[in-house]
Amino acid sequence: MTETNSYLRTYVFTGILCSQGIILSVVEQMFPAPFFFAPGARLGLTNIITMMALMILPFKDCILLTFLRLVLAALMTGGTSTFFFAAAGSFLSLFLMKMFLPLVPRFLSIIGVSILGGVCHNFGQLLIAVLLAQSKYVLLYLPLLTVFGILSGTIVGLVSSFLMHYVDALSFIKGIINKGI
Amino acid sequence: MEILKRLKPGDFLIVVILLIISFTPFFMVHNSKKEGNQVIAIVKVNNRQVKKLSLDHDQKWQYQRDGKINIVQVKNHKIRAIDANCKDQVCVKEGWKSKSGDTIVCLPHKFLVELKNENQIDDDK
Repeated sequence: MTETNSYLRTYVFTGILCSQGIILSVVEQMFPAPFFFAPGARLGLTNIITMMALMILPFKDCILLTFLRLVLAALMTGGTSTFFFAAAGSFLSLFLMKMFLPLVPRFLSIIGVSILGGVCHNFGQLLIAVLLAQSKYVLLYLPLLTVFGILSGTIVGLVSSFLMHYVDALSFIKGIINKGI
Repeated sequence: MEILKRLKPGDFLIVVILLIISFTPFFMVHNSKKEGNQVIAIVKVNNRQVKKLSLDHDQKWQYQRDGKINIVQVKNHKIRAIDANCKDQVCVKEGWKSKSGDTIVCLPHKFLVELKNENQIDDDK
């Protein structure tokens, strides 16, 4: 009984996070594109959701969540190019944040991890831009994008810290969360 | 603000490392630009182009006409006139050349080796 409940809760929570992620991508589309040279490139506010998911859900659910969010957001807002940009960015940042998250209470703070995620998000998009433009000169935008990534990563980190504060209060999640964040 | 106090030294380290990494493409592109602007040697006799030599592979090439012999050698992306049967031997004494814009001249034979960037040659067309 309790096991079923915990499965159910995980799925419901995945669904909630997924819908929040989609909303965030829609909101993000309303901003003017920060990188004029790469249509479809975005800031990466959805990293907030990825961050939350990484801290709450098992990793395979995080992958599922990211995939679902990408597909649904692409269906709702952008086209295929948006999907590829977003997918490269999201998965790259997902995996790197997963790698660095275990270091969190001791060596890093959550903001550091989300900065890493933000930069990787931009870097993934840039890689797609390199493939599409067939020119490695696009990589020269990397310093600019890194600065953007650090800024957006800081915002994402702050927001997810605040959010975790509230999510932590939800009774059923207590105990699952990585303490000390 | 409470959160800012939780920042760890590792956070700043990450920022610094990321910033450093973000500048690596500059070096890559810089190097590849050099590769793209390969220098090639153009041999002209009497102001007519007779041969293009790539500096990529080592070789010796001999030009002979009316008993006038010039031999050029390419080695390690450099080129020199290794031998000529002219009187002054100025071209042989010039030694190795590798930069775009360099020339090796053998006046008695009206033999000229010009080093040019590949891109420049494209522009000339």
